[in-house]
Amino acid sequence: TDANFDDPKVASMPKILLMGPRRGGKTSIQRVIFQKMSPHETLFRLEATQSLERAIVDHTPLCRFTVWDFPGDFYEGDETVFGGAASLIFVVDAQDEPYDHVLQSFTDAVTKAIQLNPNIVIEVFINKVDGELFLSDESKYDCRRDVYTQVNYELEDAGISPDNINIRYHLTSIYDHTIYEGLSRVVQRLIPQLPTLESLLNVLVSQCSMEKAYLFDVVSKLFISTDPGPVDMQSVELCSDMIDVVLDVSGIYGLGPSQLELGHAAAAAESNSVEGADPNSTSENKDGFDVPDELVGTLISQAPAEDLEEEMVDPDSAYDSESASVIRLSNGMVLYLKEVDTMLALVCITRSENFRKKSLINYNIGCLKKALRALVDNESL
Amino acid sequence: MAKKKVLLMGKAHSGKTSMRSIIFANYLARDTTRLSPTLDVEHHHVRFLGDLVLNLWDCGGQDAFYESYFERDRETIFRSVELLIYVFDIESDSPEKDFDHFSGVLEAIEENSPDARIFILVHKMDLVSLEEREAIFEDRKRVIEQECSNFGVEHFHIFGTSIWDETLYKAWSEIVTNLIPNIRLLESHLNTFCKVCDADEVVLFERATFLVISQAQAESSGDDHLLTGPGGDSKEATTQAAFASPSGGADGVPGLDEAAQPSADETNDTSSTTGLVVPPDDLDSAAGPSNDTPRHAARTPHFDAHRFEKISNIVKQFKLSCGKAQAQFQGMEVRNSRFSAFIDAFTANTYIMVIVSNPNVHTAATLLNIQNARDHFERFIPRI
Ligand SMILES: Nc1nc2c(ncn2[C@@H]2O[C@H](COP(=O)(O)OP(=O)(O)OP(=O)(O)O)[C@@H](O)[C@H]2O)c(=O)[nH]1
Ligand SMILES: Nc1nc2c(ncn2[C@@H]2O[C@H](COP(=O)(O)OP(=O)(O)O)[C@@H](O)[C@H]2O)c(=O)[nH]1
Ligand SMILES: [Mg+2]
Repeated sequence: TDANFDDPKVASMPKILLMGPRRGGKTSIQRVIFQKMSPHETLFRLEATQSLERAIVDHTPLCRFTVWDFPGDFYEGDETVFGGAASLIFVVDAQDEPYDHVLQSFTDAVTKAIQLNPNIVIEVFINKVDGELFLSDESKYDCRRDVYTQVNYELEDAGISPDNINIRYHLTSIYDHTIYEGLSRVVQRLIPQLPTLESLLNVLVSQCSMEKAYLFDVVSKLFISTDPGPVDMQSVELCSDMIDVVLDVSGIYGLGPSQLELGHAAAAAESNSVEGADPNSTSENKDGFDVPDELVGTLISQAPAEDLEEEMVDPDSAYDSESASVIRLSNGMVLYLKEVDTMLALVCITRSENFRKKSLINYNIGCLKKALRALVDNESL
Repeated sequence: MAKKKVLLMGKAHSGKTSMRSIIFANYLARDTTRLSPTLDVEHHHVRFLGDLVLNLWDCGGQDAFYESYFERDRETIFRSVELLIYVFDIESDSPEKDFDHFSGVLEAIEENSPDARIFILVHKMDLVSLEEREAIFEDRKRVIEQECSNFGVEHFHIFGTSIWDETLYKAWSEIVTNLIPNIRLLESHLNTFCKVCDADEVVLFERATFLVISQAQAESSGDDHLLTGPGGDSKEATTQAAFASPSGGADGVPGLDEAAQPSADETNDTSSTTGLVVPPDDLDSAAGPSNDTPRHAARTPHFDAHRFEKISNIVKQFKLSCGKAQAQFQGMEVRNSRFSAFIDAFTANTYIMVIVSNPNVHTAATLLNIQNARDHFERFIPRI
């Protein structure tokens, strides 16, 4: 499957490099997030990586990149490796002390990388912070401090001032949500439209009095943007679990038989162009609905009408243009998920009293949807 | 309140405590690696459907314990057993020894509780590769059947299980529904409800464990072999008026598509008389039970025989996620262009799932039907 990496379209995607010591968990991370391997399967299904393995992540237009999984202990990167890379993720095994040898190699790789590519972002994944050794949060923070101190020491030793390079540290484990959190933060940096996304979500949240809104890549469950309000990782995790629920339930009851493919696709395209239209048909919208923010307005006006048609996606897919879900919680909160683009989901957290204005919410999500589409089309020009 | 004694036996490390903890104590599969071996017999009382108390005897599986199970404590252990669950570890390194204990257990049960129902679980099936799973299971099943017939045990059920997938829920649903009396009556009411909602299927789950206790399918759903209950009998069992609720009305039931409701008028009409909303194209069949033809021909067939257990698994996982976020799960709707699923707290001790693929059935109508059926069904959940 390496063939299409010469395709200029693929070559121009941001590159994420995974490097680090043997058995640090690079391949596990890649498989768990992007290929849906269950974490406990990595225990017996993975062999040591022998040569570079590349993968394309391209489910949703706003979030495309390639992942380069290197064999353990490979730090000899050159121009071709570090040259076009957007991020270097260095995976350290937290359960394999001492770290000094590993971090020495890390410093060597980093020195080389920033020499060849000053724009590269360095991310350290302190992986495997789970199990007996890391039962308390304290022990995790201690571990992060150790790694941090030692890296800075090594860098100074190599004559680099740590202040000159931006290194981010993430405590991760493939057995819990921390790995999604870490990779989400890595991926968010790759999205040039991030500030626009944030303000779009901000408009939505304030127009509809929501608590929080997240955009998720449905396939990887990485969250690629949110409104500027504070992020509570527990709620991100719940939203991400909701995506599982939606995909799993739809996978049972909502898969289309391939024979009906053509008929369905036509019907879907038709109903799609009607969706969100005519928001004024109920009286509800009129109260409390202000003209959308300028930004949204501009973006809508830029979107050429013919481009609003649904891209051809697998018509039998469990996640389609009408995918939506409501989950009610006993604390008066409602989780609302809605498809906003191919394999892209908006997940909102809102109080149930504010959820009554469903058509207002749907109208605003319709606007967001159009704006997202315009954003993508602008990019591909 | 009824107490039922359930024996949980099998060799050490075969997974008995893990299963019990996942089904009745909300453990995650991965948490079970922290369990320590069971010493002697651990007694657990777990509630099911509010009034049924399962008195679980989790019997530690080390050889030394069996000596006392078979000798000193023989009667204490094996007397008045309602149900025996015997667990085999598929990866056992000494299958012969497993059978030593197994035949001893069968003998003791036959002697002390000849009416006990017997369930045999071949566990940790996830450790066998998918390609071989069926064959290896069938093979093991044959040996077990042979052993049972040697001891004159005729009635028993064998399941392959793993804590890592839905097979666990399948087996335990069967085990537990076996203890519920009057389940047929409930099924017939559920069948009627399924028809009235024009749903593809309706499933009832026990609230705490999310084990399936009853289900009903539309006749046209394509897997008739799964139809349960007496089918036609349901017509005489209930009339639709029985569902009537004084406070029918679509208000306050927010649905996914409340913005567009062309049929709102019909909706209100119907609900004011019966409390239940019948889909517009279906009004005549509601008036008289003469119409037996499938109404919604394009209904998607569901071939996945494990779907209910998968749903149990999915919802239970999500309930745990909610717990972590200091919230409790109440209900959900999921849809795409082909279906809508409603999973909602139903009676005091159950959740209901309603699957609708007919695009003419409105969300608000289904939600209203669920709401109005609550009181009615409360009376038909078996009291033990
Ligand atoms: N406890 C724990 N184990 C992990 C975690 N991530 C990976 N592992 C385990 O670590 C082992 C090695 O994982 P790999 O993904 O093959 O490591 P790698 O970095 O790709 O190794 P090379 O390809 O040899 O460089 C596997 O047994 C994984 O199950 C984690 O977060 N926690
Ligand atoms: N792979 C696998 N492991 C399991 C399964 N069920 C239980 N285990 C593991 O088996 C071990 C022993 O389980 P335990 O419940 O203590 O066994 P008991 O002695 O029969 O109560 C634990 O480490 C569990 O995590 C299963 O279905 N598959
Ligand atoms: Mg590897």
